[in-house]
Amino acid sequence: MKLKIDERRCKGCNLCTTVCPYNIFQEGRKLNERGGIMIPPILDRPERCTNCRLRKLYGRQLCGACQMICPDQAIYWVEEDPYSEESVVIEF
Amino acid sequence: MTTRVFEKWYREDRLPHIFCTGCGNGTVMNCAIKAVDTMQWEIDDTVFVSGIGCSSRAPGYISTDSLHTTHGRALAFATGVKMANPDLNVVVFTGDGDVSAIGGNHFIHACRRNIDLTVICMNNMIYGMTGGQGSPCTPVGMISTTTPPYGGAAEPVFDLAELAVAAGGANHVARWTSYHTKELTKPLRPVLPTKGSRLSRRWCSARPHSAGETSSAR
Ligand SMILES: Cc1ncc(C[n+]2csc(CCOP(=O)(O)OP(=O)(O)O)c2C)c(N)n1
Ligand code: SF4
Ligand SMILES: [Mg+2]
Repeated sequence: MKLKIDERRCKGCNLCTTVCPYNIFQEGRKLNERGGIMIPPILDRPERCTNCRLRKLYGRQLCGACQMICPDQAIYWVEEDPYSEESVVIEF
Repeated sequence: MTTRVFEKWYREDRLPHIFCTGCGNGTVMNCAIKAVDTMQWEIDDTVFVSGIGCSSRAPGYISTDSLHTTHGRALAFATGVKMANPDLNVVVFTGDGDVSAIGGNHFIHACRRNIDLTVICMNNMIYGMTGGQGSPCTPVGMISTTTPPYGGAAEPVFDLAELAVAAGGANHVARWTSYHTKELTKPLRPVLPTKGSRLSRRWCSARPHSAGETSSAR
């Protein structure tokens, strides 16, 4: 799985930066794609995310602290293209 | 496949919602939906009812049938829904102003009657929607647009959790902040199936222009 932030929903509150055990969310610097005043966080090596790595193996949602705290329902995961460069290997 | 948060429970076309940046109302919605989803309540037999306020806009973003009623009266409408069809699961979203000020009597009597409702109060300690006026839940010493600029709110606050207990009927009363997403969903889980009324009081971060200090209650 691949971690994503929906920039049309994110209002830049940065609450996600306070909950991720891997500190994947870092305070952003760039305006969102709508060019508004919202500055979405940037992802630091998102392939470290527990849910990205192990969701398939366990067959259920793991961790998800960021998704639960996100007041704007902006955090989600997408299925990964197995041949894409960001593809991650399952770690045990 | 994408894994959006509770895709089927949210009205995706209504999002993003109106809540300010960082407002805990959105988080409380996530937690309430997670609890309801874990309980395996269905969209068709769940009703969300609310009064007036920012917090009370929450049912408008949820796919179930919902009632956005008059200020403070959500519990009266919810009682009606439950009387008309006791098989429905009824959850009331309300604000501190809604439930403790104008709706104070509805609240204590809903607790006293104990007719199987769940009340989720998003307490941001002010009247958020109308511009940050002090509410009965504004802590002593906190500044709002209607409290004295020096010294802040002078009146003692309502402790809604204690009030619900004192009113006699509520089976389960809990209070968490919107930062505690795990805890917020957990107490609801063993409790939602208990017949009777429940109050879950959630502290939300205050909106940026309102009683500023209260945001530490995030
Ligand atoms: C009968 C009536 N009186 C007053 C109002 C104005 N009013 C709208 S929202 C609100 C305060 C809501 O505060 P709260 O329940 O704490 O919700 P919040 O916006 O803080 O989430 C008030 C007084 C109204 N809509 N109807
Ligand atoms: S699911 Fe957990 S580990 Fe993955 S990004 Fe979110 S908070 Fe971090
Ligand atoms: Mg309020």
